[in-house]
Amino acid sequence: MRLALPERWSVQRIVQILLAALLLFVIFKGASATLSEGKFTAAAWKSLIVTGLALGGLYALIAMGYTLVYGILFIINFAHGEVFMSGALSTFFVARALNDSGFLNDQPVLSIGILLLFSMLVSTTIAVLLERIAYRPLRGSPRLVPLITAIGASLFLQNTFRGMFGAKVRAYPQIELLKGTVDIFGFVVGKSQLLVIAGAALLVVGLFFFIDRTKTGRAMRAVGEDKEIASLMGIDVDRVIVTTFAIGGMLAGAAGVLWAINFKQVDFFMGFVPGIKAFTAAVLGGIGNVVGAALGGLILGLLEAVAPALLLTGYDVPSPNQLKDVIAFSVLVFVLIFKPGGILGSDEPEKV
Amino acid sequence: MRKPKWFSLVALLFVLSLVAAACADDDDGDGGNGEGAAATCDADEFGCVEVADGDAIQLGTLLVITGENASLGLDSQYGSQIAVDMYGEVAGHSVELVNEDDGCAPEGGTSGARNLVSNEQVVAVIGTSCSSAGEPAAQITSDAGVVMVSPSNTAPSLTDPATHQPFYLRTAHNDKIQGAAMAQFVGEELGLTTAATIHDGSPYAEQLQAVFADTFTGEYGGEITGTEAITVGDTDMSGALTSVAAASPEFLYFPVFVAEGGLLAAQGRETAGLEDTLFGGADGMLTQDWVDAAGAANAEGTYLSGPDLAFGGDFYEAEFLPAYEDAYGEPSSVFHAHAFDAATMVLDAIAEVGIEEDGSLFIPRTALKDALFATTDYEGITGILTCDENGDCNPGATISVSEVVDGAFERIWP
Amino acid sequence: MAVTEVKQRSPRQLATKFGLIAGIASIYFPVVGITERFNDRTIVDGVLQLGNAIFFVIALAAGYIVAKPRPLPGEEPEPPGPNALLYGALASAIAGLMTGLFVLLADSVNLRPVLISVTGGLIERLSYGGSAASAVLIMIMGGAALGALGAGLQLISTKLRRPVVIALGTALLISLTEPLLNAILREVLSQMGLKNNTSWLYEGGGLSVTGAILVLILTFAGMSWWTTRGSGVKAAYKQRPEQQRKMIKGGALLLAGLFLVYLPQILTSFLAEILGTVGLYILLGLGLNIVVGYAGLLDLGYVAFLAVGGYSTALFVSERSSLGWALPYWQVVPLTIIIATVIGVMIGAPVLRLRGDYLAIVTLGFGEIARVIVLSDWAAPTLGGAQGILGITAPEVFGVDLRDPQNLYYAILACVAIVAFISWRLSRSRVGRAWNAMREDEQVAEAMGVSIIGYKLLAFGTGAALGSLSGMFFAIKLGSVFPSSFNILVSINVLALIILGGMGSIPGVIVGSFVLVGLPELLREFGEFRLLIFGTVLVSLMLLKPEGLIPSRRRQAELHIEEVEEELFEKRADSDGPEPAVT
Repeated sequence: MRLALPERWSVQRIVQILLAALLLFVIFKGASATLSEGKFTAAAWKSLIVTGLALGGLYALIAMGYTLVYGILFIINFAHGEVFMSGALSTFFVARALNDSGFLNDQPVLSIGILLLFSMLVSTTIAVLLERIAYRPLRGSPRLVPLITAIGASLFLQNTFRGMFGAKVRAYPQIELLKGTVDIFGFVVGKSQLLVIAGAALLVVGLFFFIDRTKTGRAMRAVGEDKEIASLMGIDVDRVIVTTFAIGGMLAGAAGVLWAINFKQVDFFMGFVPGIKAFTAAVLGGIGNVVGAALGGLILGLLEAVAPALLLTGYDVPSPNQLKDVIAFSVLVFVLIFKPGGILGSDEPEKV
Repeated sequence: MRKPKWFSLVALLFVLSLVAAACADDDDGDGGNGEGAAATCDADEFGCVEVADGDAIQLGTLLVITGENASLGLDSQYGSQIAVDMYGEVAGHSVELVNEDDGCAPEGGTSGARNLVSNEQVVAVIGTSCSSAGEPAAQITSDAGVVMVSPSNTAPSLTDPATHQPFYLRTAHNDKIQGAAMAQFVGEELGLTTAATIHDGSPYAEQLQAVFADTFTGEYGGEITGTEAITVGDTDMSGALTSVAAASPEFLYFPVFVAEGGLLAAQGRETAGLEDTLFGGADGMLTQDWVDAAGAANAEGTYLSGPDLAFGGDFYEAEFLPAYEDAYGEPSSVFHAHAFDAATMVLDAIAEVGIEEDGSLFIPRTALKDALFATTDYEGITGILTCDENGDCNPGATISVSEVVDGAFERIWP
Repeated sequence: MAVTEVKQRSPRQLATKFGLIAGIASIYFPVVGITERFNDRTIVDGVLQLGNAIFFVIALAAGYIVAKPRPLPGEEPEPPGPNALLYGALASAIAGLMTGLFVLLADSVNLRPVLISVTGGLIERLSYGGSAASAVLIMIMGGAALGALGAGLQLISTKLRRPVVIALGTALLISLTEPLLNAILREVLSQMGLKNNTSWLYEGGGLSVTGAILVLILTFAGMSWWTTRGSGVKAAYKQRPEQQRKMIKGGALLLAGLFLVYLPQILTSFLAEILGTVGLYILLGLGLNIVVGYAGLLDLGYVAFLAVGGYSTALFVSERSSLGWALPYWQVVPLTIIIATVIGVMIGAPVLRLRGDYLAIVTLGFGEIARVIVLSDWAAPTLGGAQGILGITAPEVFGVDLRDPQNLYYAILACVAIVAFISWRLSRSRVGRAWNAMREDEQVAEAMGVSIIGYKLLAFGTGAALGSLSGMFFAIKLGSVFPSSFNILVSINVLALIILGGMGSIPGVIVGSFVLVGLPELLREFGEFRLLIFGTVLVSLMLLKPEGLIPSRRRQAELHIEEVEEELFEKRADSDGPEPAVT
């Protein structure tokens, strides 16, 4: 089948190598110009890296939802950003009540636990309902159809939450315990950032174990491989799919609270941009691959935080941070040019 | 086989469409009933609005009431509604608002304006919220002879003599005034010499920071140590903040809106290099919502410029705000004040030029516009308004600067 | 696929289930603020407001659904007995009870700090003047009555039921489209020289009482006639010889075309404006249809080409652009299209190996990159940055000023007709068949000698050119371009409309544009709930018709393997097939 390919490939290879060389040159020149200019101190770089890690961890958590669902149903759950938002926004009211009663600062650890549980509960419910109403009836229809219902569901959820809770941007109550910074290997890390990074890492590792070790996890992988055979093996496919959505929802709910604690603000529109970014992260790492999604999230977070300053300041580009999405998406394009399946994905062309 | 049929059909359609376009007639007969009114109306280039006995006078609003900036537009809409409620009847007719959405974009401004002008009963339009919507909307309303008064357009180009549309006015102050006022405050009052700016890519913020930077360096000898921009919808501001923090400016000016402004203030407090920096913004953030979004502790000590609402004496605090809060809860911007002034000015003008006859009210459109442009020394809640020939009704706007003290705004300058 | 298990539920379980769903629905509407807002909208003047009508519809529907006969597979449906009335009433009574309890709760606890729409005023209105406790009773009894009424619809014969349901639906529709229809009606009446008084039909923003009765009676009569005689008419049409049937079809098409041309004459400039917007999206949809529908390349960043078209027009036409000079339109049009095509090919070239969802996210990235670049301070000296480019003058074609929405509508209509024609020819040409083959299986197509790279680039280039054409109209229509207009929602909207209409189908694109672009514009008065309705429509339409409203016949046929093979075979031996369309 590939008899005719090699010749054309070699041309492509040459173009790719040239592109890569050019790219490396541009990056190297920009970075060295920035560094020799010495505008930023070492502390500034370190703080950018820490921010990037925290952001990346959150992207990774949300990206799990995309990648798990994709791994099993091969659909892009575009409404996953709203699942994340629903947990964060509805938990705000719990947090406010806890704060008003003084409980939040009396028992901060317990409070964070309550907030996480509540948010995960809301997000999981929304995710499961989403599967039941918007995706299950469409199983077996062309793959673009669930994409459109997902977009519709996303608009519906956004505007429902807006209708219920209002369009107001709300400041998340702050927890005294999380104020201030700690020093870790010379990196000054905000305590809330520490919570986010640790929380995200813990949850992602937990997910790895769950998928790798438990029976349900194995069933999920089996369904991802082949639904019919899995069903013949006695696996309840519907249940596995619901579980998948529920896990995605739980992680998104947790991400919602961590996000709110870290960035201190919630509103009904907060799910849209992180949703798209997390999806990008999932593709960057290789969609369907859980480790890939975590890696993709981290890379994307770091890129957004560090790259504009590192690459563009040296070229004297005005307002470099405005262009951070350009850098992030360009990196995605270049990665996919060299590795069409994403960083950890397989390069085999997918089957239609 | 099939080709000729299709082709001829398409060709026919095309020809027909050209013919129809050429024949498009625009007869516009508006027979007034009475003599005096009829004469005035015939003489008026755009005729009259006839409000029949017992009907309400219809005022259009074209504000952003959906999407991310909805709180800005809804606030202006509520301000207009309160003006209408407080004004009572005009020449024996009640007044009602026809609310349209400008979507904060030229598309919304275009279709919203078309919708309003195609309703012959709409006397005047309060709008638009956003300058990008205002550009096409001003042209459409001016072509139709419907006067439009904006409570929150601040882009200089709208009242630039070269591009001003004849039926367009605004009670909002030009960006040039507000940006310069802030520069004066920072340069003279605070006596600072270095500043950095951050904008969010909206025409409003970008213009304000540009005017601020020009004035600050040009007139007050200051230095701009960095300019950054963020993207609307982003939550992580640390990149932009770290970038401007590198030069440790004395003042950081971010004239953006509530959501991003809140994030910038909250995260800015934690950015190394900005510990001693004073923060400042503009009227897009001059609302309790912003203090809530930033968190009172983070908002503390921030300087925000805006219209001098203390001007209208007690009226604003004692009458307007209670009425507003009773009906709509906490206001989400300051532009309700401009909207209130705009609506009241329009109603005054209608009362002035309207001709009553047999219970009907005839409102000549051009005369209405002229009456509005002739507004002098009108005592509004945003200041004494006098409209110039380019439609700026607030050229001498007093901009005041407020500081956040204990989570509330305290007017400190001038 | 596993066969779905048929679960048999007792009528009481069914009634409880749908009662709960209806209850949740009737609490949902007041909680998100729809009830209050929609009560500003009249359905029948002085009788019924939209917000309240929603409650009635929910209660009716619950009864109707519960009473619906549910035969086991292979069994004849049993006509529902009088018991159905009871269960219908039960379902809606449950819904009423839930709503009533909600009112009671909201009356005793202040929910406003969390749920901002639950105001004192709302509770007062939902209590219908009495106390909250009495509201519970009213709602249960009212619900039961309406539920029984809904169930009753199942008892009467189909011949009677269909006309009743359709008449009610039509009345609702005619009332909701009042802003549109009333304006048209007035215009038509005054053009016919009659007094443009429409109070016999419309009053106070909705149907008048006489109008409601009129519409109900007329639709009922018409539908009754059709249910008894309709099959006869259809049969008569089918019996006509082929030639005559074609004539009738052609005549209908011609009438529709004439109607489209005449339409702006009876429309206000606002409606012409909406039609122009719909036309713009049809153009965009036709362009994206080539990329997604024909060639199977999922593109989520189509807005990039709209931006290229818009900005290139603005740059070359506006005297206020950074160039400082302006070109005449006859030079700008080809220039813009060439620029867009080149950019399309440049974007397409590096990502040719990617397929499916990877391509989707990469194109999404390109769309975002385009928006960020036109917005950025970095490109601002050329592209205007946040301040956009203003002062785009509209061209005059044969002395007709295109700024006028009615004239612009004709220009767009002509353009749509031409592009639809080209697109239709393309789908039937050698190129179209190559795209089909490529979409079905790239490797097989390549093995059969289809140059994948060439055809992919061709699809990208054509799509880009058409997208930029819409961008040009977009810039002319608005007279200015701002970066905020070119956001990802446009791409999503265009993709949604071609999938909703039916992938690869040209009539589908047109219908999809009317539904997804025209409808929301008409729903403007619902303000902040427009997007909510839009989302609901998207979900429910896709659930009801996953293949799209007007699926492409060709595409359905392609699901049969033999035909694809046959086509590929035909392609290779192609010598006297239809000639490729000129592109």
